[in-house]
Amino acid sequence: MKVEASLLGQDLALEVGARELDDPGPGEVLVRVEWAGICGSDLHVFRSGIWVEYWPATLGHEVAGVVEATGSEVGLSPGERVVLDSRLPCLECPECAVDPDRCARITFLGESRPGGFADYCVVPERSVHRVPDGLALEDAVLAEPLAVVLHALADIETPPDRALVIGHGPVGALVQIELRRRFEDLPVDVAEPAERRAQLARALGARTTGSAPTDGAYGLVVDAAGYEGSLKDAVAAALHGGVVLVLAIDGRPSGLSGQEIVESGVTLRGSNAFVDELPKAIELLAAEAGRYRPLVTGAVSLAELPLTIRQQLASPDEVKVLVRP
Amino acid sequence: MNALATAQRRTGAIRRYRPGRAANGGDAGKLSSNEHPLGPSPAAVKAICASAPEVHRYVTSDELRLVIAEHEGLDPDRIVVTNGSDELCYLTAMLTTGPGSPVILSEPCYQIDELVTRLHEAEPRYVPLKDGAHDLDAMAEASTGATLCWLPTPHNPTGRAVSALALESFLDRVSDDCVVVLDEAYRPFAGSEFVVDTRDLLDRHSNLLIQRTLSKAHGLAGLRVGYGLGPAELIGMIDAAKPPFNVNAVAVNAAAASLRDPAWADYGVDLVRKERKRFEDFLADRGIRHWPSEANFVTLTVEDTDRLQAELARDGIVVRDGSDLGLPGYLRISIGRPPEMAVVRAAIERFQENDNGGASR
Repeated sequence: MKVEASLLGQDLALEVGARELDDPGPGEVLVRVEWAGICGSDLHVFRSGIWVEYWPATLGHEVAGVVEATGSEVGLSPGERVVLDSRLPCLECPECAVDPDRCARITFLGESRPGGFADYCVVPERSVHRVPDGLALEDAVLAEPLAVVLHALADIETPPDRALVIGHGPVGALVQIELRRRFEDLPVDVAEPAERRAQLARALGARTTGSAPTDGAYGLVVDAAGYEGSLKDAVAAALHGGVVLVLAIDGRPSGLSGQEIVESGVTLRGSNAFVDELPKAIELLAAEAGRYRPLVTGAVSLAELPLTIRQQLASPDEVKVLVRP
Repeated sequence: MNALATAQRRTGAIRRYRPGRAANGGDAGKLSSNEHPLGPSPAAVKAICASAPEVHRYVTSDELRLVIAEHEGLDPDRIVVTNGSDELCYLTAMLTTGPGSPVILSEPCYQIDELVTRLHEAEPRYVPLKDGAHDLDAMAEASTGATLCWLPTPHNPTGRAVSALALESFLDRVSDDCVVVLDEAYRPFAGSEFVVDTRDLLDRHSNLLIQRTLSKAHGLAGLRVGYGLGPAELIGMIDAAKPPFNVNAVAVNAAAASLRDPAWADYGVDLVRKERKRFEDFLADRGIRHWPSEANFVTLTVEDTDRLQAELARDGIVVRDGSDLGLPGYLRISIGRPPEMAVVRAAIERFQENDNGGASR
């Protein structure tokens, strides 16, 4: 079938046009996309083309929609409201044989097959999670990035004296919201130079600074920024023996020496995507969508996506922008 | 005198207030009552929850009055706290009007202003709006001999506002015998040229009463908290007339918490302004007539408002029909969250496509 989709060329030109989408095969589901979220990693791909396995690519891995049709051997019905798991395990590697959540060759929706910046997409049934009644799809679409943050914070069981979040894009904002949900009185500071993002951080109760304080005062520092040198700043901001959680994707050398890590005594921890947190994220959103809604600072049509992406690449000041194909 | 006949006479001429309809799909999509798109601040929610075990106590609004005084930079004796700013309308009309008192209202006006005017058997003098804005010259002229003048700015239901300069000039022309009620429910959403220096204005006009509410920028519509700012003498009389515990304990605590945490209100206001600008640009591009709004809603006109409402309802969006507000042929659309506004824009595009571009009047 022909669908309307965003098309990222190998030359990184982005346009909206028609693309041919295969009908859902056995075990697959055709989903009518209602909302798709723009992720920081999407911007990274729009800028670099990294991870894309086919061209032109249709990105978009934060997706909420409605089942339109199914292939054979699928236990879902047309009309069911769903959110999608962004992860596409290969199902062939030894790790997948044990647990597909641990796939060593995992890819993501949009990068290895057409994603949600389109009016329809086709995904394996295992990618589909039902949305409970009462949870609007515009809220449910936040489940994927929330699952990422739930996974990242899973090991933070006791509150630090204070926390610093560097970067208040979608992930940084969700980290702040989640820290506050778990530890209501935890002082959270946010380092964010973009005023609009900093304003959200303040609205949610944070003290904000334009750049990361490097006074070694924080038991937990989250690098959700990924600017050149952000990791070095994060380590400098952490208390001796504190935890530095790295969520930002930045391919540049950090400038951080082994000596600095040793002397700071920090635990440096990375976190990528999620494992089994998507149902929990859906549950949290269903329970109190209002806690997460302030994150959404913009919503655009599919036709407006190329301009929005150009604006966000030039000057990222939005937090979460949703696309309505 | 027959008591029932008196009640019938007083209520016979009023138009019962009709609230905006709820959306079918829960709270998402209700763009009919100019409510806050994100709800109350986390600090207010915390205060609400903390208040629950204490509601067996009578609570005055004295402490809230001090918080408002600090917020406004005014002495507490120039502030009265009311059960929503609507209660201030009732109190003001009760104190300043009576059977036959001339009262100035724009046409169309804010419905509660008209309701309380008629309830006290005052004599409304309607001054038609000019292109959605108050006709201040005509209002000043009509104010001769009047006891009260209702002046909402930004105006509901049009969203148009009076500039600070025009307001100064108007107040200079109105007799001190006429109380001017400047209803600033939507002030936080207005541009700087429409925002008056409250303290300065109150110092210079002894007949000015300013209404504020926490229903809009602070998202506390369901708790009913508003307040009046004015000369100490008038405020003292309103304070003496109001019920002693007119604002409930939960509302008092939530309002204080919200005013102490302005970052939430600031964020919500900026979100509304950004979405409003985007919506107005969209309407202009599509050739749909609307009034430039300084409030958290936009009022537009199309050839077939019923069909546009039906198109919006298909996507779960409920808006306010202008005929409820004295503006038949118009729709008043509250500015919602960005996803809601994206749905509204898409529905209007569909409406126009089905109409072959003949949507604007």
